[in-house]
Amino acid sequence: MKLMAKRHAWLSVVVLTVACAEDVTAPGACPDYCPAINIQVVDSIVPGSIERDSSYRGYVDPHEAIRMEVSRGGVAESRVVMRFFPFPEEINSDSIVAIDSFQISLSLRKRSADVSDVELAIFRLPPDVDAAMTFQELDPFFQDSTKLGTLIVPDSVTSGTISAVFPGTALANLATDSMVAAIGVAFGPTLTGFAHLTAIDSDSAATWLARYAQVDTASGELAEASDSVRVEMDTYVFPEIPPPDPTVLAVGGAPAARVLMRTVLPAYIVDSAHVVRATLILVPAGPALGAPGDTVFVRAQPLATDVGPKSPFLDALSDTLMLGKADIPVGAVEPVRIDVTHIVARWRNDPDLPRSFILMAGFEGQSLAEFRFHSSEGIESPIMQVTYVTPAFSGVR
Amino acid sequence: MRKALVGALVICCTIPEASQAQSSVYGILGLGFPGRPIGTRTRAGGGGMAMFDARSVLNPATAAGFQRISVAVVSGTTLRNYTVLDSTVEGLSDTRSPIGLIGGSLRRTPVSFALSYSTYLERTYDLFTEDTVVIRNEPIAVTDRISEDGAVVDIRGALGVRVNSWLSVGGAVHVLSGSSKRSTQRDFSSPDYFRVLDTDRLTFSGLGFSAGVLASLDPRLTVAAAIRSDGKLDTGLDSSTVGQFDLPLSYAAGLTIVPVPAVRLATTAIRTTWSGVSADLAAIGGANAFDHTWDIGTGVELGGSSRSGRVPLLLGFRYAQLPFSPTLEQPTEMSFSGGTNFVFASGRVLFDLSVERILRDGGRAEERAWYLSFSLTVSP
Repeated sequence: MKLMAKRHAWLSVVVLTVACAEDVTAPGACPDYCPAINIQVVDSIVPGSIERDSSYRGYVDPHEAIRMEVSRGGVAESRVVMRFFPFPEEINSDSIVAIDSFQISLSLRKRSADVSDVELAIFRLPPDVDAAMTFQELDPFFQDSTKLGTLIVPDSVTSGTISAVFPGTALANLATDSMVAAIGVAFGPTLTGFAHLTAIDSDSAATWLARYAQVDTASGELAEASDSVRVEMDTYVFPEIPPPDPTVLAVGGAPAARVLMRTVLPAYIVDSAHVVRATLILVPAGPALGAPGDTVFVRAQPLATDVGPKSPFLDALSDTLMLGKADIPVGAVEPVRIDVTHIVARWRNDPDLPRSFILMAGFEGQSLAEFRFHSSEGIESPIMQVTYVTPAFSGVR
Repeated sequence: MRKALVGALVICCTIPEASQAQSSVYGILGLGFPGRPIGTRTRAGGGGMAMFDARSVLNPATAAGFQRISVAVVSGTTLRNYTVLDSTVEGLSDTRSPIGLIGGSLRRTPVSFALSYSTYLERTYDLFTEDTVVIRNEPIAVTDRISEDGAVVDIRGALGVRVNSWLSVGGAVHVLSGSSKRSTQRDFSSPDYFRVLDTDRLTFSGLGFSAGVLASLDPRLTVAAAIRSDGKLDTGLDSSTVGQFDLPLSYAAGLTIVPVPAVRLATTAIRTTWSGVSADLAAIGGANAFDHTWDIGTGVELGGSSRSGRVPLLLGFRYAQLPFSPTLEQPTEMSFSGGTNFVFASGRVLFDLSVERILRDGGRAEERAWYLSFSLTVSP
């Protein structure tokens, strides 16, 4: 038996060599030797595909935003308002003899790219400013008499920390103001453009106010000392912007506005075919609003269920950040196309999903940038352009 | 140990793809590529022994040959190339188990049985094509991948009766079953377009009957004949019937001559009428099917019975017509084969081996393949 096994051992080698081989993938020799499958791509502009679209405002107020806009020109002037935590009466338990200077540091996130020598004017504001104050109420404090100085943004700096130093007399009323300092920031008086500053609601907030003083130490000698305080409240203010007409919808702006769009795409597209590209086409009701040089960043967000303006999203915002977006330059009047394929394609596999979605700004409430377009009740209603593939198979052919 | 290794390997390779035969470029068309329900030993002899081999499922009368329980599993590996017009594809390979069988006898009766599965129609392919389509006034390159993986399987239950020392008769019921997973994928070169992936599963069902006779007219001459009728093949998609095809009627006859004890000559001829399928496919604009096919195999076995202890040599030649074509030219298949078998464990284990060179031509295509087949038969 052993001899027999040895004699036929080569069989194992042969079997091992050829068995289990698998490679059947080949280029198709069509049409002769291809299955009778017809993959048809259809591109269709679907009239009346949007209905019951509505705009809602108030999702993010200026004082809740992670960035704040300081701008001049465009739809309106915007100014940043900050109130700092109170300075201590002493510095490290040493009494203050004299304040030499103050230094303010701001965190710049974005600025007009095409403007040179951007200036940010710093003003002293009353210590009781709060987020409810309006542009008109604060406007009297943005005067030469309250101007602390100017912060020059080097042309090489598009983001990062920028700072300016003021003499100690700049905030001479600090003691009588309960050690509270408040400042306002306005865009340079001779320029038009914008700058976005990081707000305290951001994880990367880096705004602070430092003071440099001479103190009387415990040993009775004078010494130099410093400390700093962070922002307690910040917001930005601007003149009231007229609301859009009833047949016009708005996305973005401040407070942030969103649009809930409900679709009525035919079942033979959404349920039976494969949607490979879906584009929402919006016709502006006028030039995109905002500061000169800014951009309205609009994106479409799928919904888990449609319960109106507070409908929950299907995905976390970050998951779809790169999908379904449009960058609209301020002042643009061309129709806007937003890719919504990632939303529509999912409806086939999950018929329970609402056939609706939300249009919202990319970073809500951070600027005045706003896009207004005609609603389904307007003269040029939104429309969907859908590219879909019809089912390839039927039976056996 | 080595036998166990071979056995385990064969079983390992056959289970996942059980009941599927080799792929062919001709299997893309029509209902698929017709399977050959014959064992490895018969393959080695060009199919000439198909009407006489109990481990083939062509003639139910051969079930009478099972005197004790036997289990047989076949594994086949195809290595092939094909050319269609100017397009040549090389290096394709696949491994399948085209047939498996268990047979035995009913105690104290002249009746034996055989239960088997085999490929009836093979429907496996995997193709990709490239093209450019214009969408939204832009040319977009697309790559399509179309594949199907499955088969129509013939599950046969056969009874054979040894009427007397020279005559056996048999009958069988064939349950046609199986499914095929189909997949179409389209990728666009532009990231603006999502991939399309469409999959479904076709199911097959049908019923057939066969009957056969085996007669040893002389110790040196045996003849056999069989007839098989398969009814309708219903194809379903997602629990609904999407097609029905009138399956063929087959007639087969065979002859074995043993001029001297160490030499056995055998021939089998099968005629299959595909006219029903032809009409059904024509009605839906499908592939061109021919009214009938001939399949004729002839072989010789040198060296006597495998149970004699000597290692036999089998040689064979086969000519067959294929039923489906994209043109009016009917494709044909020729094969040259050889093989042998080895007996282990006092005849309780039989290992068959065959090598086949296959040449298929016609319908603006030609295909060349090597088919290596192994089978393991255990009679505990």
